[in-house]
Amino acid sequence: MAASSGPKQDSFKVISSRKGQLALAAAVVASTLIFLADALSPIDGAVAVLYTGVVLMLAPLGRRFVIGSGCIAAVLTTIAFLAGHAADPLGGALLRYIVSLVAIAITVLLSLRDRSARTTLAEQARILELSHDTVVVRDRSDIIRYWNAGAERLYGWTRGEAVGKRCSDLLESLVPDEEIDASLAHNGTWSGEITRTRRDGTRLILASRWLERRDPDGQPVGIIETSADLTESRRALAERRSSEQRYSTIFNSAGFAALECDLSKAMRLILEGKGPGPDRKSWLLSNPQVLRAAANEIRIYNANNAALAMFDADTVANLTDGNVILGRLPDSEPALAYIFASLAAGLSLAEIETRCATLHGRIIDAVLRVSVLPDGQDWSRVLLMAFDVTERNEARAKIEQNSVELAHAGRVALLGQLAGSIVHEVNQPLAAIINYGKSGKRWLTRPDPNLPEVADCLDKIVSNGNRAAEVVGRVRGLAKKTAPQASSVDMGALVHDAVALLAREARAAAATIRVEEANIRGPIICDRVQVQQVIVNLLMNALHATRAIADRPHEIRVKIDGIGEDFIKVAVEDSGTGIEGNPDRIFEPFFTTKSDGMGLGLSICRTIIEGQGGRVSASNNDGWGATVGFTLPLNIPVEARWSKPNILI
Amino acid sequence: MPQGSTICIVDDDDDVRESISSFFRSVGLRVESFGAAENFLESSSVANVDCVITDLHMPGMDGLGLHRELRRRGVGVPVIVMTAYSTPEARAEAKSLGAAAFVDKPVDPEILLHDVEAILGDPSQSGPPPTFQ
Repeated sequence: MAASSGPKQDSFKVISSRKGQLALAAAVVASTLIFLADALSPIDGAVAVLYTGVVLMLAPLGRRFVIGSGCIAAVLTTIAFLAGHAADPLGGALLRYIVSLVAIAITVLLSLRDRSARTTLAEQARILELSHDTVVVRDRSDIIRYWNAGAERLYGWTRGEAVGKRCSDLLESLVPDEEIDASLAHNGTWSGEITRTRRDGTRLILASRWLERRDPDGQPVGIIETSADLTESRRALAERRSSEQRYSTIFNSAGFAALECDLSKAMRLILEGKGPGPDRKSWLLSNPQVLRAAANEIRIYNANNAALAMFDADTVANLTDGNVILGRLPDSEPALAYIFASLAAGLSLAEIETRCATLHGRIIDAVLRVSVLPDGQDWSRVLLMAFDVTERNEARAKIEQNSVELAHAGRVALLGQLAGSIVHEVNQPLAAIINYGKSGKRWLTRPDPNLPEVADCLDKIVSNGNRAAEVVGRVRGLAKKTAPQASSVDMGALVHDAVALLAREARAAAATIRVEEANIRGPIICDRVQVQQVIVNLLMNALHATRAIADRPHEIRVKIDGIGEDFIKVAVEDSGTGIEGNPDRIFEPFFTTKSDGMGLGLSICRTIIEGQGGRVSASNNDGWGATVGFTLPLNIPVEARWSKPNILI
Repeated sequence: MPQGSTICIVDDDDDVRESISSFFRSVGLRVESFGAAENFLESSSVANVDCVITDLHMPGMDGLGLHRELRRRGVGVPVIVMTAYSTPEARAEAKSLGAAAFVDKPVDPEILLHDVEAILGDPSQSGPPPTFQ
């Protein structure tokens, strides 16, 4: 029902309204009377002209009524004329007839025009009503004459409340009077910002346009104004400003270096050159001229104080060329390539460690974190954060060095404990060499020299010489202090060497050491000297544990097992007294059960094993004694490669 | 030098044993060598030996223990004790037990020979008495 709105429906609506019905009724009555008067009365006057009144009466009802009533009036007039003067058509009556028709026609036309004008005005008024903006018309005394729906909404006063009041009082306007007067006097208009108060007391900021109304003589009679509410956008602007302020404060006072860069040109160069093929990073590394060119196009337009300090710059101007800090060192090429490649791949965040040179020529290690800011286009706003990690790296290197020194100290301590054995092991073959030498001479200088005996003596000299050399060789590695080195090691041979080193100790402890190998897949990559140090340490402890036992054989078993594809396990089992308390405690620094022990040996062992990506373990056996051992990966994982040493003390 | 004398060498280290044995044989002495004191004590040589040269530190019974056992059995054969680790205590005990000599390893076989000759009472020997520092 609401959708249908043709002219027919409108007419229907009109007819059904009370006013319409009344008008219609009156029109009919009037028409009838006029007709009767025209047709029947002897009056000599253009009575039919009175039909114009009927037309005017029906005009408000709509176009159709105007035309309809006009036609009916014309018809009625014609009927009356013909009825009265048909015999004598020419003459005064004809003139009166024509005049009446013309009058009716004119009235119809005027009514239609009036209607049209009204419609236009009505539409214009509706437009004013529809406007969200406020439209207020005031007269010379600032009294409100017109107040649209927008004004109602904005100011909170209804039309009835506002019309007739003084505008500046009602709305508590704050206006720049002088400026307005000058502008109006100059060209009759003014536009600018004013502040007003709503009905509920809130302040409004408005963008206003005023136009002077003039009467036909050119005298100002009032003001038409239209205003748009700026409060929201003002608030948004203020918010945005304070947000920028906040960002600026954080940026400038941050404790880490932050720089804003424009990478648009640099990235354009990067993106231009690459074709399909290997990944961008390797492509960049193999085309350093592109990398250099792009680095030259890095522009730094803002840097905080921490950044200036970090790079030894006095002002941001010193740093404008990004190449200054990023491009100088050949070390920085991989980092640059990584960053450019990441950004080109569409990442908005990239982080990498590299070395930079400050403006004073200092080389520093820095972690660079690049972040693309959302309000820039094509990498024109990129935030670069830099963290100086030189000290951290130096501290790390120091720790590693300390670790090496500590491991060496452990070895030296071991050597000290083995010194007696070592000396003995070397002395024995030396003594034998002397003896065989003297024997040989005796055999040779006898009245009947015994050459076979001499030959035997000489053979024995050689073999004993080798024996001494072997002992020295076994020991030599332990004495050296070297940085950890990875080499391919046969674990079985390493264990046997360690057992040989302790042969005398084992004899002294009346212990037998057995070595069992299983599932060995091949050599292991590890540091030979350090791992042997660990095995010797474990064997010494096992020997010490079994020494005091009187009621059972002193047996030590070294089991070497390949575990899965990637690990090897070495476990030293003894038949001694076992470990009291929590077995894992033995790896803690300064834990010892020896009266003369310092307790560092096993904690050093743990450092060594964990530094190569392995794990130590200790447990008590089901029968007698304890098992202490370690697992090592066949190949040292890159992260564990002496990069995270444990601090023991 | 009384030819035909039998010397017994007791040392767990094969090369020391063999080299001393070779030297003594080269001067015409008869030598029997044993890797452990127990082996020597169980053998038949105990009865016929003229001089015993033993290492001090051995697994099982040590040199002084061997000396004591020999005396306990009433075997009065002279015993020369040699060692790589000589301590005052060991030296004193060896002396108190009546060891014929106490030498440090590595021992010069010539000196050992000299001691042996002195002990075996070779009249042709007119050198200094056996070493007993």
